[in-house]
Amino acid sequence: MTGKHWVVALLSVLLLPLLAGAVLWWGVNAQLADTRWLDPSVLNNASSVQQAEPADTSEAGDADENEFGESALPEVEDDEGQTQGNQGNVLVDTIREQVAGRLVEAIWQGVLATIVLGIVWTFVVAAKLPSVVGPQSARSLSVPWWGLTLVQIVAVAVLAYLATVSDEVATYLVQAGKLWFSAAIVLILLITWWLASLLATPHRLRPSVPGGNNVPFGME
Amino acid sequence: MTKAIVITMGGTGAKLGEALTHLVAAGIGPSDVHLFPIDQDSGNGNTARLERVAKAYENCRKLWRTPGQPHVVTDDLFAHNLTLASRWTPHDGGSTLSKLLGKLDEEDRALFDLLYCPRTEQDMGLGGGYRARPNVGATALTTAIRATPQPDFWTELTQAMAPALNGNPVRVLLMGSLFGGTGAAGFPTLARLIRNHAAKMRMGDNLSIGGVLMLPYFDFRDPDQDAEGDAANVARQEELLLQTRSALEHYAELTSPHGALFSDLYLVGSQPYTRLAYHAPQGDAQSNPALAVELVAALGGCRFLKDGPSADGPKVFATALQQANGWNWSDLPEVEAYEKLGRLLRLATAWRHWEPLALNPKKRLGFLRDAWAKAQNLGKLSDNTGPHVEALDRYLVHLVEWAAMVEAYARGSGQSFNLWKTDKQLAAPINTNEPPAAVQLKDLADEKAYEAAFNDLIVPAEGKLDPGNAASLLTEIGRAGKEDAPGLGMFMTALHRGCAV
Repeated sequence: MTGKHWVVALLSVLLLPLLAGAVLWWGVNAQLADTRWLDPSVLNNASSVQQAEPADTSEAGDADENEFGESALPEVEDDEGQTQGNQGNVLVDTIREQVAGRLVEAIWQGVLATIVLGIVWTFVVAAKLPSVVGPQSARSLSVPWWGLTLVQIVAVAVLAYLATVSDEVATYLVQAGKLWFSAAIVLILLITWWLASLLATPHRLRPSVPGGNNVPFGME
Repeated sequence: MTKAIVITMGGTGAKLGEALTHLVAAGIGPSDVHLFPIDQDSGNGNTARLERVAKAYENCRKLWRTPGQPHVVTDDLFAHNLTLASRWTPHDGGSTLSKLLGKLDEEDRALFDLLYCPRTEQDMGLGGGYRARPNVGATALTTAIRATPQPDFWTELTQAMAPALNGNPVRVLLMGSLFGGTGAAGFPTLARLIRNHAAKMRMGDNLSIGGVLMLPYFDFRDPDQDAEGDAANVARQEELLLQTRSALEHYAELTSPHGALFSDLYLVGSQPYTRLAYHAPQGDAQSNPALAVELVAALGGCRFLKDGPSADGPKVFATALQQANGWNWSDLPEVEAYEKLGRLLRLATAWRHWEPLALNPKKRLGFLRDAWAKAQNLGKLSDNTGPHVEALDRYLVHLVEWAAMVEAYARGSGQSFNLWKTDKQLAAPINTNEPPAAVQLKDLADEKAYEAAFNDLIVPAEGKLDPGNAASLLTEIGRAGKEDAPGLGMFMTALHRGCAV
């Protein structure tokens, strides 16, 4: 590969995962800002007491508006009054921090895995490129690509699993129907891997990457 | 526009014509050549090969360079035109010198008997050529041209020279050997006839005549006396040097400043000779291999046809190998030979790999989405490529065969050959101890075979960078093709561009 190839390839495998990580990070934070689904009763297994319908919040009149203009989890009033509401808020914040911590960790670990695989792919491409002389050899990296993709799938899937499905916080996510967080991380990082590996591959070797011939831009 | 006329005489002249055809195809030399093969040996394999090669190129060029054709190349590939005239065989099979001259009076008869041996020359059948007897050939040839009606060859030749009457430069190049039969006989004879015609038609300086004369440059085994009844009539190596000496003395007079017959004369020989370990006297069996020396001679011819005669009067050019017994690009008297001939040879090799990929529907369907196929618009390629592809195949295979033969016989005679390497394209090595058989080329559909053949094909000239390899060619054809090259012409143009050295 020429120097230009190296620059373009390394920029692709570095910047695209970082960009994907930033998007995921932003997305997770945006989701966590909406705390309506962060119902501590699910985690406390005390739904009968603490569940509050969003419709009730208007009647209560004290629903907080967060920075996105969305209603925060209402405080529950009962005999103990304000105390329980404060405890609920603390619990929500705790859950939010734990969920955010786990997800952000998973995201950046996934990004790191994608970058490492991208760099490995770049070296594989550089080693192969000089001997690519026709359509047959242009497809010769198909198996290595699928191999690395398998590694990528396993890596991000494991990370997502550990982050979202493996402990109490994860149980909460599952019960709250937010498992798509992990699916989104896996999906977006896989798409990122595909695109980064594709852009790091000169046109000559593109037939090795599924759909590679359909992406017009990139290196010659 | 300058008109270039090439007349090849005899088997050696035909081999020079073959080399010149490949040079013209590569874009070296004149842009428009009219080729006239002459051979009294009607079955001469060398002349038959020249006709096949020149016809193949002529047809190939016509199809690929004619506007309006479905597939046209737009760069300088096959830019130079070559027109092949019909072969002229001056006499029919039953002719003898006695029959040609007819009834002679007593005085002429005595002179005839004095100049020509009654037993071996006067009644020698001319059907198989002049058999290394230029004295017989010269008289026979002159008689044939002066016959009534004039032969078609002469009519066509004088028509080709006609632009000189209108002030356009016409260059006539005669190519043949100083030894042997047709060439040795026809060379000075025809030059004088042409010169006389030009003088008669008052063409003046518009018509110039050049010559490429081959001195002995190969040797062959003596004919088997038992197997060949008239073997004594066949050229023998030991006679060649004597013939050459006396002929050179004659040519010294023909190139003297006063009344020079030739504007420029290229004398090409080789020492040591290229050894041919067999002897083929005449007929189809006389199909001698193409040799590297002929390439040098043809380059000299191209130089005359392109640049014209020397400004300061008739000249005799000389060339020699820089290193004894070895061929390098710097030995060729034309700096463009490396770039142009090397490029065409690479194209011929690359095409043998890419043709099935570009044309075979089964393979195409699999590859049509590849960048190179999209860049060259192969998805929109019509199915009417047959004649174009067939013509291209035919010519390019001739080119590779010629190159392989030149290389093999140079190496076979103990010379080092550092121009090109075709061995990785051959299905079987060429046996230089036998008359040249059909060269068997390897199938280059496999990428490994193609890569090996292509990457090592051209030996880089001194001071030149390594030519790009098969991988860089793929990059090149992956670039968008020229919009103005219709059909497969776009792909061929890109392939040619990528084969540059």
